[in-house]
Amino acid sequence: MTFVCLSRLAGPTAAENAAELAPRLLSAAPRVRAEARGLIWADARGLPARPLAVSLLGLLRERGGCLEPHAGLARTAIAAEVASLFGRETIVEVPIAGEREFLAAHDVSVLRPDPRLARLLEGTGIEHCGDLARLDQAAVEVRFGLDGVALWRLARADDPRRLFDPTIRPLPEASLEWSDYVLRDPERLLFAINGLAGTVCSALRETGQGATAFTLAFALAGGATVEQAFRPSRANASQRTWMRLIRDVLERIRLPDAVVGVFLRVDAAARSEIVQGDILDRGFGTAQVAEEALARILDQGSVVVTPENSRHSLLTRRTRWLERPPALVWARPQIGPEDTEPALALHLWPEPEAAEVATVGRRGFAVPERYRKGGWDGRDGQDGRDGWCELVSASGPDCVSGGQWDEAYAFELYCCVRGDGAIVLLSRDARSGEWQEIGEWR
Amino acid sequence: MSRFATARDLLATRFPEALPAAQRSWSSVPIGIAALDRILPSGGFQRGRLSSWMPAIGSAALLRTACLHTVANGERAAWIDARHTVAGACWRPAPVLIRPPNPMAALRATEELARSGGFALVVLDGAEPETTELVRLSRAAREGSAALVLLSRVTALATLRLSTRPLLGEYAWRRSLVGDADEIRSVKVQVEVRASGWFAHETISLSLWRDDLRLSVETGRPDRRGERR
Repeated sequence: MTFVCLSRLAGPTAAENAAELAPRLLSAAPRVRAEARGLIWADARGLPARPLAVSLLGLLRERGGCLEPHAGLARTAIAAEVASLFGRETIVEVPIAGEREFLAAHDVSVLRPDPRLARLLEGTGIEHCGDLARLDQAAVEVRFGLDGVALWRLARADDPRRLFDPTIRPLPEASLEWSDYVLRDPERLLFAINGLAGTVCSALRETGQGATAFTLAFALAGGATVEQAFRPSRANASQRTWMRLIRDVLERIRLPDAVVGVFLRVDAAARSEIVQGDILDRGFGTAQVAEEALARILDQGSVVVTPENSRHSLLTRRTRWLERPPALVWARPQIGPEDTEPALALHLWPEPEAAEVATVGRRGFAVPERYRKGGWDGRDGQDGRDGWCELVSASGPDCVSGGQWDEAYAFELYCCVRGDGAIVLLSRDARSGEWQEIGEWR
Repeated sequence: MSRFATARDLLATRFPEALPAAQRSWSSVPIGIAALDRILPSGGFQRGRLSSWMPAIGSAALLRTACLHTVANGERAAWIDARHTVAGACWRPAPVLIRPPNPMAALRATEELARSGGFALVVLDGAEPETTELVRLSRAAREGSAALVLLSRVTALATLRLSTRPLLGEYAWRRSLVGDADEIRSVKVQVEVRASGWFAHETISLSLWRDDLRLSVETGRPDRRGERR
């Protein structure tokens, strides 16, 4: 049995409503729920239903002051409700798979149809639940609409109500304390933590989950507690990965006192995902190890990125780098022959390098003729003349300007071919007149 | 015919696509440009070995092509951008692009990926490893059977050393009609390959990525190109 429905809760000293009565039943049933129309539901999943109903009725009489409470026991909520409200005996138990037959004999009004629908049913001669359940869905939908279909489902003991949400499992945790001695040696601490991590990871794996956040707490001899939070790059229940993260932190952390206990708890968990792959893909067999390797890299602070390009006129502001998860390796990008054609691409320096530029005039612009980087270290340049690089060609300028609403900019960009064959991008800030080398085609 | 030769022939007949174990470490990851693969000692970057490519014009372009070709063949390639120089506008997101926070993290990432066995080609761009680090990287590549290529001036421990030399006289230009400087269209580079007892070179033509958005200045601001001041 799944549900126990308690009704007829009135009595001379009865509590005013079901909501007041419900908490008094928690000593017998693990989960109860009160409804405003005077019903109390008890969750009987995994429990012997009839003894539970007997004890609940006893509690209602003794502590609730109810004179003649009734209980209905059934696997579906509607059957339990009808059994409780309309049953002649104090406890009515609806047999499993007999819910529809049980309801069939009852008047259709026990399903509480709205008045308009009740008149329609009456007009078509449907009196009992069995009459309604016997019809097929299309016929009910055509004549009575969606409300009629919902009632038809109830008449067939098909009740979609979820009275009790699934139980939330507590996230695993483990702790270890010692009173006879204190620990200062990180290696000994790691030994203790390793055991805790094994316990917690096993508990997570049993539920098919991985931790996305966990905390390691150190109980110190002085009574204080130091907590260290960890956030793995993906849902993870690998003891090896946890220990690597913990070891990295233990190498850096400085505790103010000796340790007398450690406590490891999972703060957030997510379902461990298993990705469907393509067995005809040559990379399929190694995708798992590739994903794990990427996850380790992410844990070390690196990021896997893909560019998202806008149409900003400045190359340095055009790209937003999106961080990607390690599961990226399962994707199989489509590459066409035109994609593999080799082409020189611009590489932008992380910081533009200031440059000293000698220019010549051309069509009103100062065009670079040769340049020397600002950070010249005294060594000879490409042409061996005090770091100066002769330019064979400087095409441009490409003038880009904008940012009138925030930070205004105006640049002249020159694509320059150096005497050594390298192609660089020189930029002149039209507002300040400063030159910079901002990238190179490689 | 000896029994060994008979057994070998029988295996070759029954499993025509199987590679002898001894050849496995010598199989290669081709660049995908036939002219270049021909001059490489094993037809591509050797799996399980460390190669180095001197950073110069064309080196990154050809390595990008190798990465894309690897992915097109159903394998995996990774590009570790140690200096964060890759511009998003001209990056084709097929190889896994990794941006480490510092050079040491770049070396660690390279070692992890090379050792994992999940990546056929791993490129480290912008880091200059020391000798001890090179030993670790070399060992990781061997353990993971990955072709590891350093885009770096460091050539120690590399079994294959490549470099590119620009042929400035053979660059292709587009003539300007209004008196501006000629615009470069494509470049020619000579790729030189050195290995133990091996030297070969080939000339390759490379086009130039262009910024197609250069006319897209923000609305409300004039495009001042060609304006006399």
